[in-house]
Amino acid sequence: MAGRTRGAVVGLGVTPMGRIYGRRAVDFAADAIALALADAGLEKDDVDGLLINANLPNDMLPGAQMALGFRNLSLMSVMNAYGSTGGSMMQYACMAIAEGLATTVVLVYADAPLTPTRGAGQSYSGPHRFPLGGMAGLKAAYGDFGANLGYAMAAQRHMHLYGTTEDHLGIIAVGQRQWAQMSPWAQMKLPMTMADHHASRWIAEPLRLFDCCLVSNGAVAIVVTSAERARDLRQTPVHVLGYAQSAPGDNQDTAHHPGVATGAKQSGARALRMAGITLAEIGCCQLYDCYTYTVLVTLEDYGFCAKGEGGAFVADGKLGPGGALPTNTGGGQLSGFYMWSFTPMSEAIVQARGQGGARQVPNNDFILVSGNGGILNFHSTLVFSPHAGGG
Amino acid sequence: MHQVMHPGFAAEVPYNVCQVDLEEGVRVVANVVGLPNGALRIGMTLEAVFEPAGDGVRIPRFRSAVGEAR
Repeated sequence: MAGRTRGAVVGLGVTPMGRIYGRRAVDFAADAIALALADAGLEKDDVDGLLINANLPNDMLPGAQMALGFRNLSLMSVMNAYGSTGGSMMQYACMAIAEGLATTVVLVYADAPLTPTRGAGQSYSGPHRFPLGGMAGLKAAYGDFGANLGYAMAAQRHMHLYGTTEDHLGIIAVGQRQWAQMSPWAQMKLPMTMADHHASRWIAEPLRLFDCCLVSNGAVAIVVTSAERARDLRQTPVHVLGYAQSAPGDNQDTAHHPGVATGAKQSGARALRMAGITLAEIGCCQLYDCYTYTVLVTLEDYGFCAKGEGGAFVADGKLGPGGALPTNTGGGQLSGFYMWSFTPMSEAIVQARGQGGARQVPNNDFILVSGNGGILNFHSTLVFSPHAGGG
Repeated sequence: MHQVMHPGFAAEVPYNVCQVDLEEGVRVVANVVGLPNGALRIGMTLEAVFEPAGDGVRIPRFRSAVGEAR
């Protein structure tokens, strides 16, 4: 029998995503919070907890609580474990509610790195991101900048060790683009074939443009409360049955093949154990997909297949529409929008509520949600369900 | 690396970045020189060369040592 509910998601707010200029991250955050509270049927003064996700431009800071107009907070923090943060925020919100620190917690991620003169390729790169002093200067002398390179090395190593191919990465991108065409929030809706994937330009070999996530201006806010309080609110509650994190140390040191094994292994096992379910009961996945490779390695480390068999596992298109393991059903970060772990969390909420429309999955009993940060150095896992569970 | 992540590398792309395990037990980030990027292979044997990197500074890079090392 499934474990008991640890807390319930009762509100979701997603702003328009993409090239929306002239607004700061905190402006998007205010919009997303207003949408999430309206979705939940709550007022701002009902909120007594606020967890803000840090972002790469570092402009979501503690002072945002004033700009956002909260007056009644007994729980407030900015949290950062890079892309895995959202899952940890959900975990802490549930724990805080269970401990009586707060009754109703808003989680928010907001970012606005795109400007009319700074597109996706420049938004997280360039001199404003990479100062050249100190030891960072030595890495810089070799041209070692940013996440693209680290993930490319991991994917290259996986290909070398296990024979993973460009088609294995491509099928992930193609499937997610098919999902994106059914999501109202997705930025990328043009059809993509495997040939289109293979024709897209190199970013860092073996990763092509279509192996890499988008960059988005926008925000997502999520309202969490107790399962008991959730019963009286507007939306079908989405129960958090399991949560876990794992930060297993430096996977780039001499003891490791760089980026081939991740904290998903420990984090996933813990979250499933807490939820009282097995992997076989998972009906759909929302996996952090900063790169196609991230999806593949996460599936392996969660145990859907053995280490090294991720390519063969995804090759039949089982992650796409109509497949056996629907994954990233809003298009993910590759074709939907890039809001760190608020991308997979938001789609998991939609699916658990049964509000996916054309993209609704047939089995939403248990949904596995991952967050991933750094160069596969930080991981978070959630199990969502429309059911409150047993016990 | 094909993407220009810093304007200082606009004329360098595509360039290679590698992790190199030293015999002393340390792993370092560096570039391989003297080979086309397409000829690089994981596991190949390399040796250090100390190359000028501007402002009178020299930094270690690596070249193929096939048939020479050990």
